[in-house]
Amino acid sequence: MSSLSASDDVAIRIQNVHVTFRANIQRNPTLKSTLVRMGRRQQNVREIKALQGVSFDVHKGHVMGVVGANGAGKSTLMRTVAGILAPNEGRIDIYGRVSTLLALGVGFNSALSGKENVVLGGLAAGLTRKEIAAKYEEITEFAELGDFMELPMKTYSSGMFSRLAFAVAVHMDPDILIIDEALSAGDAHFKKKAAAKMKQVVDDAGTMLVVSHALGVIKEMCDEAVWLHHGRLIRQGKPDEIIDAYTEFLNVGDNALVLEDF
Amino acid sequence: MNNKAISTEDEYLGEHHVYEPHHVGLPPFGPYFREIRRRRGFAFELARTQMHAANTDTALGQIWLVLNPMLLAAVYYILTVVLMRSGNNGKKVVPPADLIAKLSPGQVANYGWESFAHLTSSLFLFFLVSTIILTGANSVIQGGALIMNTPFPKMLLPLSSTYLAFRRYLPTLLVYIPIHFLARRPISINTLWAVPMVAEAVVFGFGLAMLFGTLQVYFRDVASFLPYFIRIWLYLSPVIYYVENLPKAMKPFMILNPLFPIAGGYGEALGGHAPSMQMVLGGAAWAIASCLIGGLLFMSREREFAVRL
Repeated sequence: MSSLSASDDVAIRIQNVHVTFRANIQRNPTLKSTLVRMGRRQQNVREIKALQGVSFDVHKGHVMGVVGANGAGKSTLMRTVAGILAPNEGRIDIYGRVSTLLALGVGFNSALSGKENVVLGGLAAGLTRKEIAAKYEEITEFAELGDFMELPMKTYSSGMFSRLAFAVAVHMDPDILIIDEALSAGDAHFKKKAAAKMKQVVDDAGTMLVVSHALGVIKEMCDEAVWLHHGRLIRQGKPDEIIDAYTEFLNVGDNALVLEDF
Repeated sequence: MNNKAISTEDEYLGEHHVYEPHHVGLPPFGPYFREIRRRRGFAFELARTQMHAANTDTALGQIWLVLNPMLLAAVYYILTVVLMRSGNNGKKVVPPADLIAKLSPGQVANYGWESFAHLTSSLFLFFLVSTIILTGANSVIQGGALIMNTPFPKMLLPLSSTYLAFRRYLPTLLVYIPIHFLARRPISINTLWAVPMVAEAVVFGFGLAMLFGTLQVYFRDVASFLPYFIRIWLYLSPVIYYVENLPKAMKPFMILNPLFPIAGGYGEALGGHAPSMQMVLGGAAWAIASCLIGGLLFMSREREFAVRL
């Protein structure tokens, strides 16, 4: 592993990453509609350049915030770093064990109980049954779900759903925690607990990549921030600077910067 | 690519992950299959919980797994033993000459029961394959939230459906065994040929599960016509009839039907005969071809699933 020496303090290295989707225009893609469209010589897919040459590093123990308007490519970036989406170009290096808390949470199958979902999610993520069993108690306790763990997840309230998702993500002992818009989990009491737990993860020399529209959270939690717009990295720097520039941009609206992108 | 040494480290294993575009769209096979092996517990657990969830709310619970094939067998009993007799003015139905040569006098005398045994065993095998295909076709779509949240080799999903279908097949054997003896079918060393034929059926079904699982992501109506396609296939396969019942002119075309050698060989084995090498090897060839085509298509497309779901 001599080639890793340069990355001693880097947790995530993103180099010139491009992600292009060929998204289907049809709401519900069917063979029939595809054939009909082909017959009419209509395009079935549209290319969406979600990320266009994004590069930055996240150092170990740092919290990196990602801000940007809707459609900036934030969630795509999170999913690509998590290894769920594939880059079309470029390369991402991850040094450490990743745990994700993305918008959808753990809810894999709502007909199954919370317990079954936790076990299945853990097994899919590559944990052994032993590891999952060891963490299960902590997760249940943290999520404060009690007997609900045995009930199908379709009986859960949305707060219970996100509490469980958060509990799972933070208890996987991640070196790198990727959080997408999930900071609003639960009520005030749980939010406080969640914030404390995230601080603990970072204090244990963990690294975090956080997407949030709550700029106050980014300012408070992050050591550094990046601003994405239309799939491009506009600026990287101290959270205060980035947020000031971003808010100014939001207030000004469509300015020269946006137009440059087209 | 400046540092190939690192990029051979795979996407899922270890503490250093590299995400890059795949060459010709396929992941490196070594790490991919190692990781499937490592996470196989997920496939088993998923099948187990789904089986549990399917029956757990019903009054009879898990007994359904045996009860269901028993009730099916009862329907076939009426079709064969009862109706075959009354349909021939109460006289015994005589099997075709080719078949008489293969059956023992006891089986010929008991032809209704013999047909019943053949029909039951062949249909249970057919259901094994069709359940693999039908649940496999939906496996990727149903794994939606998990695919959107976790990086893992998606082949575990159709693999889990295959295991689920096999687990459902096992209780049908319990139902079949007494029928086998009631029909006075022989037990010999040749009966063991049933094992590789079932293995071929499972591998063949797994390949199609991957194929249709992928197609289903792109065309959501595949699942709607699949049951009809499977029903036609049933009638084209030696399931409700014997291989010997087929008209001579049809036989050369039967090589085109993958289930012909597989179901045919299975039927022969349970009838106490060794299936011809043509059947054993033909079935194996179809099983391998199906896995290769389905598997390569699945792996080349699986990184797109998260976008398409």
